[in-house]
Order: sequence, then C-alpha cells, then structure tokens
Amino acid sequence: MVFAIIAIVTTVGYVTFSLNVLDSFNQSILTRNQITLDVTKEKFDLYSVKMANNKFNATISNSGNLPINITRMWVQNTSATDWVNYYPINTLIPPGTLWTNIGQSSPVSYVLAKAYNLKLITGRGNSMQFTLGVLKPVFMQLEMLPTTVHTNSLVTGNNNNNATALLAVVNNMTSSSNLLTNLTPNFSCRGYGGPPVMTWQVKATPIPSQYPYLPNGGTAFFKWTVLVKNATNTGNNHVTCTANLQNGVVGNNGTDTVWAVP
Amino acid sequence: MGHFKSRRGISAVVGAILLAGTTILGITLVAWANSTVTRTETILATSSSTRSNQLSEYLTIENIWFCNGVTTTCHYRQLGGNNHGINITIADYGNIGLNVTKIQFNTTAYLNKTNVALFPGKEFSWAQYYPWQSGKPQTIVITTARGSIYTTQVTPP
Repeated sequence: MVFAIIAIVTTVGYVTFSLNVLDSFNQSILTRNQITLDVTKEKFDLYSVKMANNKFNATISNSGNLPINITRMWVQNTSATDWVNYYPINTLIPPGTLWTNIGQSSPVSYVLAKAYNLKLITGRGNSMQFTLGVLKPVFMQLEMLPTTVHTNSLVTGNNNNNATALLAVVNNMTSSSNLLTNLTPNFSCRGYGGPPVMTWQVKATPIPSQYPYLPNGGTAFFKWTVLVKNATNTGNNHVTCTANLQNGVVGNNGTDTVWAVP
Repeated sequence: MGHFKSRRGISAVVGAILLAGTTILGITLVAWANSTVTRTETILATSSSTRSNQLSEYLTIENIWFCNGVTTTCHYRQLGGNNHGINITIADYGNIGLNVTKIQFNTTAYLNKTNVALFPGKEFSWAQYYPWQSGKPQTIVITTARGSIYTTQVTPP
C-alpha cells in the first residue's frame, strides 16, 4: 500500500513536471513566433530625403500597425574609397505617422557633389537601403523641341526662338534597393558656328526643380524653356545642350542639338 | 506435538524473511524509480531549456561591406592590413545573450573562431582580410554556441 502510494505520487509528480516543462517550451515557441510575426509586420517607407544644416533629413512613414524604432543609420560615401560609418539614431515612429529629421543628429555632413548609400536599421533587425545621388550611370535622354529653328522666326519676328528641353531620367540600376533620392538636374548649352555664334538663355528654372525620390524602374522628367538667339544662316550655326544630375556620375549626360535653318 | 511447534517456528521465520525481502525489493524499486524519474526530469529540463534558449536567439547580419584597405575607415586597415578586406556587423536583437563561435566565408580557408559574446541589443563589427572580387557572390555563415546558423549572401561592388 505504501509503495503504491509512493509510485502514484512519483508518477503524478513526473507528469506534472513534464507538463510544466512542455508549457514553458510552448511559451518560448509562442514568443519566438510573435517576434517573427512582428518582424514581418514592420512596414516603413522612405517619404523623402532633404538636406538641412548640411545633414541628412529623411522622412519615414510608418505604414504598418506596429511602432518602429530606427536604431542606426549606416552611411557610405560612394564617391570616396572605404568610407562607411554608422551612427545611432534611436527614433521611435508610432504607427501611421510621418517622422522627419532622421539623420539630423548624425555627425556626418552632406556634400552635394557626392553620392551616398544610406541604410536605416530598425530595432527588430529590419533595414531599408536607399541612395542619395547616383551610384552608377543611369539611362538619361535630352530632347530639344524643336531641333531646328528658323533664322527668321514667324513667332518672334526675329532670329530669336523658344525651344523646349525635356530630360528623361530612368532609374535602371539593377538592385531594387537603389532608390534614387533628391534628383536635381543641371542644364547648360554651348553655341557653335557663325559669326555671330548662336547663344542661349534658360528662361526659368526646370519644372519640376527636383524629384524627392525615384524608385527602381521609375522615370523622372524635367522641362526647361530655352531662348535660342542669333539663329543665322552662317557657319553651320547650332546650339548643343547638355543635361545631367547634380551628384551624378561624371559623363552620364543627355545631349541634343538645335540647328539653325533658313 | 513437538514436531508441530517446530514447523510453526519455521513458518514465522519464512514469513519474516519474505516480508523483509518484499520490503527491501519495494524500497529498491522505489529508489530506482525515483532516481530514474529525477534523471529524466533533469534531462528534460536541460533539453527544454537549451531549445528554448536557442529559440530565443535572434541574430541579425546588419551590414557587410567590402573595403580596399586604402583608408583607415576600412576596419581591416585599422587592424594593420592594407589589402582587400571585409567588414561584418552583426547585432543581437533577441532577448538573451549569445556567443558567436564561427564566422565562415565561402571556404574554410577564411574561417575564424571569434567566440564573441553578444548581449541583447548590442552589435559587433569584425574585419578580416579577404581577397574579394567585384561581382562574385560571397556566402557568409555565422554559427552560435547553441547551434543556430545564420546565412547570407553578398556581392562585392
């Protein structure tokens, strides 16, 4: 009888212990599942990147339903060799909000002429990478409309003519993480032929003046109105215009020519 | 009569021996059962704890970058190297600490038993000489002391 009681107590104790261990293990699995689920539920996008006080000023939108903690920002200056650093950010973004000034606290200064690769890390280990400036040559085409101007314009009544310059930039970089930001175009022309040599004048700033960001596969268009002067029928008169991107790759241009015809 | 008295005495002795034997056998059985149950409980608790801790490990390979050893920003250069190098930053995003025992590149030739202790929320950067080639993908495998394996692939610029 005594042994039977001992055997029953031991068995009950073992079963209880096993169930407790199983429950504890179950809790571990549930916790791990929850963490994994939270990681997949984090959803944040780059809204814009601007420069303020010579520092990066990124705006992030938290479109998920969990708060996001941006813990670190990696910065790679791709215009230099071996220039990679990271800085603590520790900014909490509530769900459904836009959060600005990310990067303002980092000590790194932004130089417009250089290209940067930025990577934001969240407290759950997710990351988002984007590019400021252009790392590699992108597809770029400049179209001058019209490509010929008359020496005596019917519109202006003289040899000065309006032309429209249209620059198309396609983000054809291979990696989907190569989000181009802060695209600002440069435009200039050079007159040839004559004398008198043809001259040019940009009548207004480009429309738009800037693209905040261009996703992989996207196209940006910029438009200028140019006054082409001194279109004469002498010396193969023409104006060749070139457009490129600030902090772009050297030699990555779009070029087109406006010819003077009688 | 004397014969019957003698037989009754033998029965009492046999009965006592049987009782003592049963008791000893019972005690032995109970002791063995207790010992086995205790041992099994210990094994179960240890195994469960190990698996739970392994489940709680959450290591992230935060960033990998390749350097030319030209400037001191290349960690490998800081270590005295002046050739191609690789920089790996890992971070512990779990709620328990972990021990990285091995960071391995494509081949075992660049295996390093770093044995790095990482606390929750902390990161660790590691630099190593590695003759990478542009556009050639590299597989990096990180193993922890609890047996978790984290793998990623990167392509040098």
